[in-house]
Parts: sequence; structure tokens; C-alpha cells
Amino acid sequence: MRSVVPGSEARVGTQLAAPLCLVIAGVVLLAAGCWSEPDVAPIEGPVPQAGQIHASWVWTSVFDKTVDEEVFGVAARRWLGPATDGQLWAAPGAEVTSHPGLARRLVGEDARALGHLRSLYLHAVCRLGQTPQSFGTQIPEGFLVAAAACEALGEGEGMARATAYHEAAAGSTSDDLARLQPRAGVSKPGPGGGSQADVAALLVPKIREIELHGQKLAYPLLLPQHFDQALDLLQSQLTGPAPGEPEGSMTDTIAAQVGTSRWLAPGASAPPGLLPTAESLFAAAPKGQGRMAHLEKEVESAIQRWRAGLVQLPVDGSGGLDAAGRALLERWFRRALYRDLGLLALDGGEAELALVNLEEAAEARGRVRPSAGLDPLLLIGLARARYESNELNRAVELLDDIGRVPGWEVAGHVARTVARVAVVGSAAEAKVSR
Amino acid sequence: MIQLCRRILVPVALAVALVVALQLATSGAGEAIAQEPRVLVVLEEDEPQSTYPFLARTMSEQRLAELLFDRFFTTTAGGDLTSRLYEDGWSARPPNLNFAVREGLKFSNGSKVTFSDVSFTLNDVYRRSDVGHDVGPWYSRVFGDAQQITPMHGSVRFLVSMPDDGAERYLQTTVLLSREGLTAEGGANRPMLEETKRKPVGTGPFYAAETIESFDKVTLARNPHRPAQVRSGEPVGGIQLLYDQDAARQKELMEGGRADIWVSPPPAVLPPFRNQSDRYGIRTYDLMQWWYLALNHDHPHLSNAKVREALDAAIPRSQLVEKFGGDSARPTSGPFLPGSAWEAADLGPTEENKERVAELMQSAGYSKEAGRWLKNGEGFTLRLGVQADIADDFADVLYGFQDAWESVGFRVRVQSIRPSDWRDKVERGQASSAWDVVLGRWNLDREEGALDLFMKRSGEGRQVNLFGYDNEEVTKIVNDFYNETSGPVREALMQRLHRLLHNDRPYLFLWTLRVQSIYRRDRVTGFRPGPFYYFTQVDRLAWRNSGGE
Repeated sequence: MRSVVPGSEARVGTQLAAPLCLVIAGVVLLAAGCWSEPDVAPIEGPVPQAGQIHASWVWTSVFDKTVDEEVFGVAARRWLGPATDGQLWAAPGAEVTSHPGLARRLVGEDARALGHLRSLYLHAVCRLGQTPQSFGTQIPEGFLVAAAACEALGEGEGMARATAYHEAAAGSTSDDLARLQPRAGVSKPGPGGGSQADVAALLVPKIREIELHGQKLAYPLLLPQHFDQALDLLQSQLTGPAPGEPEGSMTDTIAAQVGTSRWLAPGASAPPGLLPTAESLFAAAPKGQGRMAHLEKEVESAIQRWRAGLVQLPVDGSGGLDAAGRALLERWFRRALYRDLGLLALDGGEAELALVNLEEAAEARGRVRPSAGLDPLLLIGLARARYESNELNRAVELLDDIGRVPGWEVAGHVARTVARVAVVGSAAEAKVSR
Repeated sequence: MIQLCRRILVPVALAVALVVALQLATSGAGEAIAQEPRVLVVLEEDEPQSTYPFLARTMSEQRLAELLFDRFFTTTAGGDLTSRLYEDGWSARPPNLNFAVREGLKFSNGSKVTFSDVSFTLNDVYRRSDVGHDVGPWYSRVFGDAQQITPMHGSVRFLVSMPDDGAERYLQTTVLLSREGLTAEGGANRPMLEETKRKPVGTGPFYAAETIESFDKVTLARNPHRPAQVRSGEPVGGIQLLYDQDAARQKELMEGGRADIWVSPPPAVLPPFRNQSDRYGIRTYDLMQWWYLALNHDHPHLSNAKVREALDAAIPRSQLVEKFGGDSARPTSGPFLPGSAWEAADLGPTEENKERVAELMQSAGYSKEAGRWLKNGEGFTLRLGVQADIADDFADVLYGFQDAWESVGFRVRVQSIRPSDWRDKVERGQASSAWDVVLGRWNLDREEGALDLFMKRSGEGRQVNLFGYDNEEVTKIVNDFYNETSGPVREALMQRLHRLLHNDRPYLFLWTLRVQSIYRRDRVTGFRPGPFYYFTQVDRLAWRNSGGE
């Protein structure tokens, strides 16, 4: 194997005397040996001081002894990681904490996650309904579902096309959407004896099975109402009297803010730009071309300044932090900022921006799947961002993994739909390379 | 010591450098250096042999071509089709697809693009079977003549049933070529692919400003006739692609700051880069990559289905995928990847089972003596050929196979297959003269790409059916698939194919590998590899300190 070092044939002025060149080369090489590339680029902007770091949830969640252990445990499993004890993901809407603020936040995030799943599924099935090949004549009701999905998305043309394909495929047989409707709302006893919404039970599709060429195929058929009823059930858990703003206890603050880019407790403040929130960065980024690069630079700059702040802390004693602690707190800061930014981008319809940010939040691993610190909202948001960025196979892989978690099985059904979008083929030329 | 170095030697070096800079500033050479654009250094894989995408056999050739040429149509991030080459509003009037070249579009040599270049591309290059590529049969089956109607406008005729919607998908892998750039003066009726491959002319984001003398290092300059999509600051003005280096050397270059992007690092090297998140970023390269062991079914022992199954059952897949680290690899059961609608989902990857190996070999009439399987008193040695890059970068995986097979009584001799041998022997149907088993990997843009791998060879030219696998049932399924339009029927056919190939074992299907690229986050912004077509968004790449995208 050959090795090539870039720049090995650098040109030099021909008029320089050879001895001088040799001396220069020697000195420069010696200096370069001592002074390799600096590890950290120069820091731009203000660095948070110890007091500001100590006031952030990133610090208090671990070091403030008044924070309730149970709340921290739930938060660690859900947003922070690494934590391995206990169930990693609870079913949507399940009661996992007695802290009302945290419970409310969990339900709210589950609802947002299901909302993303709904959106992803509706887009995928509506897309399938735009081509007569997708369901063929074998699954005519697939077009009905597609039409309903398009309608829910406000895609009038798509709905009309899917309806027409349904009529062509169904012929004289009549399909009835009512047969596909989800069953009525249900509840089951919660761990505290109260009634707990059984959201997952509302998200069970009708499975249409057929056998062709000796193969059994299954088509999960979900209507928008499946998701809507589940979301209504989750919303009903949020409609009770709100616990209000955190009353000032550190536990309340942690419950409300841990894992987000709202770094400081209500009432605390820092100079503008010192500890930026995702919202502030997102709003300040220029629209159009250059937006992604601008945000990339600003986020990394914020992380760099946070890291510099951590480095300034003493390595031991009260208020100090050793290397492992610095690495952990930097990781949480990084994940929270990227996660919030990615979710904002997703809500704003900027799928590609969402994708790169959510991948960063999930730590850009080879295979991202439910685990400690990688919560349902982050991963379902990521699956949607992958889908909307046309990375369909990667969306399917993630959805399949999510669908294996009890209570989130619906993600597996959505995965089957997206997998079919990926192979609605044209027999166009396909590339295969070594 | 380091402090001493910095305090004494660095100022001395800087002073000397200042003197040199002053010297150079007064000379012509100094001006030349100052004008050179900052070059982005990319660590690539195998050395390319060509710059034309229809000749590409490897992903590194494919990626090089992306930098030089534009495809007729591309898929946007949202899944819609778009074109850099043609005005919006192309229209289908079966059997014709009509479109007009964008006003002002130019090739890298400054010549204006007209529809004549489009018709030349299809009629005189892609549809021909006598110019050195193997795409001619497909193009001549699908397309009739491309006809120029006005200088900028024309049509492409379909010979097959034209899809109601999305006919342009058939032109997603086709790139625009220059009639002038590929035709000799005097109009010789043969595109000069070989003669021009070192200085090709395209409309892509970069071009070869100087003839590419050596393909182990390719330097390209930004196409001056194509605006960069950079809001402000400094777009990447040049790219240098370094090929054919082993992973250890590539790691050294990346860590030493002498490279900016590493396209396909072995997953096991990623953790230290991931841990330096201030300097390196990692982006996933969405690629359907799967690894295989291709078996020669004409081999006297491998022709026995029980021997093939025994070899399969001897592979410790779950152990071997661990060697890639970080959950990067997943075992597979057939040509379609886990999660695909075409995978027979009830079928799992073959489990390692040594008892089963013994049972199968004995039932096939073999006996074990001195730890080796014999038939009629004679043993055999399998000649395992391995793609050179795999042998270099994944030696532990390779030895894993060898150990696993040797430990259950199969003798194996390993040989690396150089790229030139791959081209001249494997792709020419001569693999069986040197190897009985081939360890390799395929990269596909879509599931459909896998079908070619199992279809009976036809004619000369490049073949991807490595050992000429020929199974009537497979051929029938694939033909039925192409004659079928119903999604459910196609799905059933493909699942049947998946199952059949799993059981018949033209390949032992191993795993799919998730590819992730490393890039210098502190140096560049706007880097995101596209699915399969890596450099789709290279126009947005900019130097980070410039503030642009």
C-alpha cells in the first residue's frame, strides 16, 4: 500500500540559497516537533464562571443534595444517561414518578413524541397512496387509509388520487373505514391504584394479511384517529390543574428543566449569550443559505465556552470537578443543546437541520436505539428527521428498535409502512459497487 | 522541555519564517503560493481507475465521479426529484420525457451546455455497448433515441412502459457528458473515454484543472462556472483525494491534522475521534452495505448444499460483528437488509452451531480424520480470496473466519485480491480459476441493485454475479418481478427470493455495516454526506473560520 503525505511537494522560491534552506528547515522542523497543532481552538466569547455553572441544572442535578433522588433517577434514565438500573423507557403516559411536575413533563413529551410518530406515519402512508403499485389490487383498503392520511395532512390532491386508486383497486367490493377505526378509549389501573391511560392499547392497527407466492404479508392499517385518540388521552392527563411554575425547590427546577437548554432556574440569569438556549440560537440564525453552518458554529462555540468554564473549576473540593466529571457535564450540556435545537428545527419543518442536530444529540453512534439518556422524544424526532431527509432505511431501523420497547409497538408498525415506501420501485437502474 | 522549545525555538522559527516570507514575497514563486486555494484533504478508499461514473466499480470511483459530473436528476432531502441541469417543469408525454437545459449552464471548460450534449450522452455513450461500459444493454432496452428539438430543448423516448409518475427516476444515475469534450476533432464516432479520463469535462462542482497524472492522489479545483452555495466566507476551493492507504496510516493523517475528512474509517477507530468532539464530528453515510462470502457452486465440494450449509453454520457471526464495535454491524439473512420490506422477516441469520456442522458433513458422506473433513479418503482446501481493502483493514475479522472454519475441520488458504485482479479476473468471470470462496462487500443505492448479483451472466463486460450463479427459479422470480407492477406481489416475490437465496447459499450472507465519516468540525462547516451519493451537498462545504456554509 502506498502512503501519500499531503503537501510533501511544497514549492519554495528557487532563488533561496541551499544552505539557508537547510538551516531553516532544521529549525522549523524542530519547532514543529515541539509545537504540534493546538488541542483546542481559540475561544470566542465569554466563558461561564463558577457561580453560573453551579446555578445550572447541569450542576445542581448531581451536586445539590436537596434534589429528590427519585426525580434524579427518572431524569437520569430518561434524558441524561448513563444509568442502567430500572426500565429504560416506560410506555407512553405511564406513571413512573410521584412528582407532579415531572409526571406532567413526561406525559407532555410522550405526547410530542407520538405527535412526531403520527406525522411521520401519515406522510408515509399518504405517499404510498400516490402510486397505484403500492397496494396493488390486493390491499385496496390501503388506499382508503392513505386517503384519510392525506386528508389529515391537508393534502387534497393526494387524497383525491388515493381515493381514485381505491376505487380502481376495490372494483365492486366495498371497503368500510369504520372497520378500521380504533377501539374506544380504555384505561387500566396505574401503579398508585389510580387510572392510568393505556395509550398503547389505542394504537393497535388492523392487520391485513395476505398470502402471495407462498409468502405471508402483513399490512398494518392505522387511521389518523388511532393517533388522535391516543393523543387526546395523553392530553387529558395534562388538563388537570397545572402544578404551576416551580415553587422554588431545586427538585421542581430539575424536574422541569433537566435535559433541556434552559440552564438556569427561574429567576436566575446570566449575561446574554453566556449560556445560550436553543431558542435564542435558533431565532438568531440567518434564514436560508448558510443557516446550518451558522448554527453549527454557534452551538460548538457555546459548547467550547462551557467546556472552558468547567476547566476553570478546581479539580477537587467543594465546587470542584475532576476530569471524569467534566466530561460528563460537558456531555449533558452538548446533548441538551443539540436536542433542543433539533426538536425546534423539526417543529419548524427544517428536517435536514433537525437531522444533523438530533444525530449529534444521540452522539452519532453507528446504531442509535432506546437506551439510557436517549429518550422517546429525541429518538422518535430523529426517526422523523431521517424519514423527512429521505434516509428511509435508517428511519426504519430506528423505528423497529423503538417498536421493540413495550408500549411503543406502534413504532414497529410505522416502520413497516416506511419500509414499503423505500421499495416502491420503478425498475430504474440501480447501482451496485464494490 | 516543551516550554523551553516553545519559548526559544518557536520565536526563532517564526523569525526565520518571516525572513523567508519576505524573500518569497519579492519573488514570483511567492505569488503563486499565495494564490493557491486552501485544499480540503479527503481520505478515500481504493485507488480509482476511471473518472466516469458508468465505469465505476468501487464506491471511491463513484464518489470521484460525483465531484466531476452532475446527474440528470437527483433526489432532494425530502425525497422529491430535482435537477441542476434542466429547467423546472419537465414534462412527460408518453412515450417521451421532455425537458430543457438550464439557461447559462456551462461545462468546467467554459463551453455552453446544449441539448446536443444530452442527446450525445444518451445516444452515443450510455446506449452503446461497444465503448467499454456495461450499462449499454439496460439503456438500450429502456430508452430509444434522445432527440434535440431546439438548441436547448429535446426529448427522451421510453421503450418500456413509461411510469405514470416519476419517469425521470430512470435518469437518476445518468450524468451529463460533453460532446465536445469526448469527441475527437473530425467527429470520430467513438467517445474517447480512455483518452479523456485524466482530464474529464463535466458540470460538477469540481474539475481537474490539470491532468490527473496519478490516481493515488487526485487534486481537483472548484468549477469556476458553477457558483458555490455559500452565503458568505470562503467556499472550499479545492479538494485533494488520497487513495489506497491503510487504516493505520489514515488515522495518523487524520490525527496529525493533515486530512479534513475520512470517508470510511473502520468503525473500531471511531471512539477516540468521538471523544474529541471539539475537533472531530461524525456523520453517518447512509449506504446499504453488506458483507458476504461468495461460494463457487461448481466447486466439487461446494456444489453440495450440505457442505455450504455446514460452512455457514461454522461462522460465529455474533462474535465477529463485535469486532466492528459500537453496534456498527448487524447480521443478515439474505440479500435484503434487516428491516427491508423485501426481507423475509421470519428468517434469521444462520446461527453458529458446531454440532450441526458435524451432522451435515457426515450426512453428506464426509468423515473427519486428524481434525479434517475427508471424502473418499481425500481432503480439500478452500481458497479464500479477500478484497484487498478488507484484508488490510479488517484482518481480525478475516482471521475470525479462518479460525472458525479451521476449528471445525475445513482447511482454508487465504489470498488477498488486488483491485486489478478483481477487475481482470473476478469481474471477467474468471474468479473460479483462483478462488473457491470470495470475501467481499457490496454497496447498493437501492434494494433492487441486489438482483444483478444473482442473475445468469449474459455477454461480455463487467459481471457482478461473481461465480456465475445460475438458478432457474431465481431467474424466473427476478423476471416475474420486473414484469409485475403490484407492490404486494413484488414484495412477495422478493421475500421468496430472499428465502431461496438464504437456503441455496450462492453467498453466505454475513452482516450489514453502518458507515460513518469523520470530519474536522473545527475546520469545515456544511458537511453532510448524502445517502449513497456522498458528495451531493458538497457545494455547501466551507471553511469554518470563514463563517460561510
